[in-house]
Amino acid sequence: MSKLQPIHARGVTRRYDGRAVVQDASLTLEPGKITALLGQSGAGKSTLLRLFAGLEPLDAGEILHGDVAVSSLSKHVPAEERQIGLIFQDFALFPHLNAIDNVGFGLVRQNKDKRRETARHWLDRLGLSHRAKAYPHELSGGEQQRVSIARALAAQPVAILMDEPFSGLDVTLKSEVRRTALAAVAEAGSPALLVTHDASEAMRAADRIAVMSDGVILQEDTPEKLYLEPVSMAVARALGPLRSVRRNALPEKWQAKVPLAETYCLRPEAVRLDPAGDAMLEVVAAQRTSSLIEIELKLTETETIHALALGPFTPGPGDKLAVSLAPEFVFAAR
Amino acid sequence: MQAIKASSFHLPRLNPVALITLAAASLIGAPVAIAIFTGVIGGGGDAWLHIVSTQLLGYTMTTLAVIGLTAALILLFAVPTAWFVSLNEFPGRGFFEWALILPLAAPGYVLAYAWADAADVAGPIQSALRDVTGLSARDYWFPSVYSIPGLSFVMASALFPYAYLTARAAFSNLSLCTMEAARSLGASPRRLFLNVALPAARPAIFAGLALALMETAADYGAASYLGVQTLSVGIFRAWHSFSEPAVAARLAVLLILIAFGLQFIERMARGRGGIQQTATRWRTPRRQKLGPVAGWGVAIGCTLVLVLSFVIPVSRLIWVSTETGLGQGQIVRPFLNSLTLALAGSAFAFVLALTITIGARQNRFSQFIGRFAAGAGYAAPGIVLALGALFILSWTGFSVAGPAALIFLVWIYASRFTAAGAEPLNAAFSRAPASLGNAARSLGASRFQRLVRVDLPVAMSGASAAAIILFVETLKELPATLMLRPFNWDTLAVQAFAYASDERLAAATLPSLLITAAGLGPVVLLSLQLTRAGQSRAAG
Repeated sequence: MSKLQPIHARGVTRRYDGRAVVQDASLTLEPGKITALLGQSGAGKSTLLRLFAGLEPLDAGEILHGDVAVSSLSKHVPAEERQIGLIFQDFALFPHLNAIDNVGFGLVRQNKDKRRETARHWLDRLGLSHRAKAYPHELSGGEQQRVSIARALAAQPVAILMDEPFSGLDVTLKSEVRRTALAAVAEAGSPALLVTHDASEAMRAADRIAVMSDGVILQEDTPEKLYLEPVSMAVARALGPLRSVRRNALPEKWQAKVPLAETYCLRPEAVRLDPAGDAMLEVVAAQRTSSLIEIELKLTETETIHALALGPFTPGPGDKLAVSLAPEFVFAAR
Repeated sequence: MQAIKASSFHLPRLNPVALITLAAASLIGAPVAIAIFTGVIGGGGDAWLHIVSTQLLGYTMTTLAVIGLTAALILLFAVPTAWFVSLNEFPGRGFFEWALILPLAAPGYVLAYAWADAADVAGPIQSALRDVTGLSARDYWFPSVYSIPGLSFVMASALFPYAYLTARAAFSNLSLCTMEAARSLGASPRRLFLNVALPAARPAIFAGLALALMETAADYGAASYLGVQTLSVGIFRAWHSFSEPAVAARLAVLLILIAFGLQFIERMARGRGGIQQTATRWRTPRRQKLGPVAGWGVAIGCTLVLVLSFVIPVSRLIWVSTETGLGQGQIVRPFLNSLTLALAGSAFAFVLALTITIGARQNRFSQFIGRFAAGAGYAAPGIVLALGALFILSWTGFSVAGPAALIFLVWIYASRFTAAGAEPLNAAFSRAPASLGNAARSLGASRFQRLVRVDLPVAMSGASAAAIILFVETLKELPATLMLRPFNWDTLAVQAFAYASDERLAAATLPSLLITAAGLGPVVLLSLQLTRAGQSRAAG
């Protein structure tokens, strides 16, 4: 199989005991791009990844590498023949091999010297050349995951599939490991799939995001487009927090700015502190969360909305604030 | 490893792995299946009717009484010691933590010989009693070892470490949060033990207890030597003294039912809770320092358990053997025979254990069939398995006295102990990440390459433990060896039993001590491993 070709899933379905866990899913992984598969646990993300990898047969549809079908009802190229790099949450390092031998595991066609050289190059690329002789149990979680990424990349895969690769890491390690790892993945140029339940991770890391729920891909697009133009409330909710508000509760000037609907969902950024704002709202509560201040503002006796603010001072309950509405962050609930 | 789900269990396509596992499982399960089959199908005739009307109730009730009393004694020995060693600090705690496992090294029949001699009228204990009190032998009552309570005490002494180990692990794994929550709710140390720790550890304690009681039910050597008429003794007698193999097979079915019954009770006792597992971020509670009185009281209690279960019987054997000189009886031939059989038996069991462990990784059918057969073989007493082998020998026309019997004996060892060998191999896999196989596949490794480059090396990290356990278990085995060995092919266990039965204890001591010494190595190794694991967990 040649490299740097897109991988397509077309109308893929997978059933367990008659129940579809992936239903008619279509997704293309482009070379040099990271596609994130975002959804709650049980959404079918990992199953779709396993179908891409060839770890499971499919019940309908097909998976193609370039123009060549690798999975269909009549054909199934086994995982070991697909040259797909897999990266797991539990790292899956071989406990009896040290870091350099783990990285060299898939390079059986190379002679010993060449294999060592390639493995060393990838360890170096992931900042681990000094840990080449260490066994998995001697490595930290972050180091183990970087070894597993080096191992997958060293085999020059036609695609990289990552199943919640950073979920097992401490918060402090996560962003550093993610940055190093994804830079290496992007540099390798293969199509890459990142399965995650973390919207901010998907937004940060991916070129494109596919939102999945109950086995169905709801929408697939760039992070920006998905965030601002979700096709459904489910997609909007998957990308970030929302607050429901009835039309009648909004100040009159704001009602004129948004399309007609009974209920709206607002992102926190929809309401801005603005000295020239067209509404004055009373603060119910305010809380600093590191750099941002979360402010709850009173609309009616029973309804409130949230606003985010930067700045040195946290307002107190009862304060009146001038605010304006950014309609691009308001979605009419359907 | 994934649990077997009944709803999603399907017969697989006949791939080579499933076929090889099926073959291994058949080898393991055949003797017990044949013993059951013969017992159920074969008619016992008049001899069976005679046994039913005269001895069956006695054999069964005696066996149940021994099991019940042994269970009570094991709980008494194991649970308090495990509790104090795991969660309290007292003088000598570090020593008792590993030393309380030592009794596992000596088989029950060896402890029976030693205790019978030590507690005899002319033995050192009663002599000392008379010297101190000035009484004569007729002036006082002394408990007899040749009784149901005596046998129960001996079996509990030999086997309580099983329950001690599982209870200790369960107590050590108790969540700090649970304990602190209970304390903050005003629970006294007594309530903490009875209402929080004990219910949480109950499944683990029952698992260890069930294992010990299955061994108790299977024991032949100690019961026979102490003259307690258990089912095992009845089976041996029906086969050996009355030449009624069909009757022996029927009694064997009863014994198997008791073993399976114990497994069933263990599962029931486990309830819905399951055995508590240690989570990575689970913090082990800090040990509470006991006051000087309580601390020394606990230390004396632990000492008493250790002295009664191990120090007195083993030092008595050493004393007798040094007093009478080590040259009693022939030892070289039985030693070499034991070595040969233990090496062959453990090697065969190791190969079978490796086969079913690796098979279990490949598909659910292999996992189910391998575990089922190994579990059945382990639950079945050696005497029952030997009976199964004798039936096969007689059907196939091989001589019981010839070399075929030796091959069958090796087979029986493997059938009986494969499950024990598979345990450390399984543990090696459970320590490895679950997605290992898929990682290897994604790197282009074929099924055979995965077997050679991943599964075998991972399993081999548990290989030394498996090999040692298998070797010692095989070395200690008595009833099957007694029934199947060719004439003049005595092992250390058989020779010790023969000498002890002939009241030549001095001659029985050396083989008994050699078996115990062989058992000590792995027990100390196991003990050190467990202690080190506990320390690293506490540090982590």
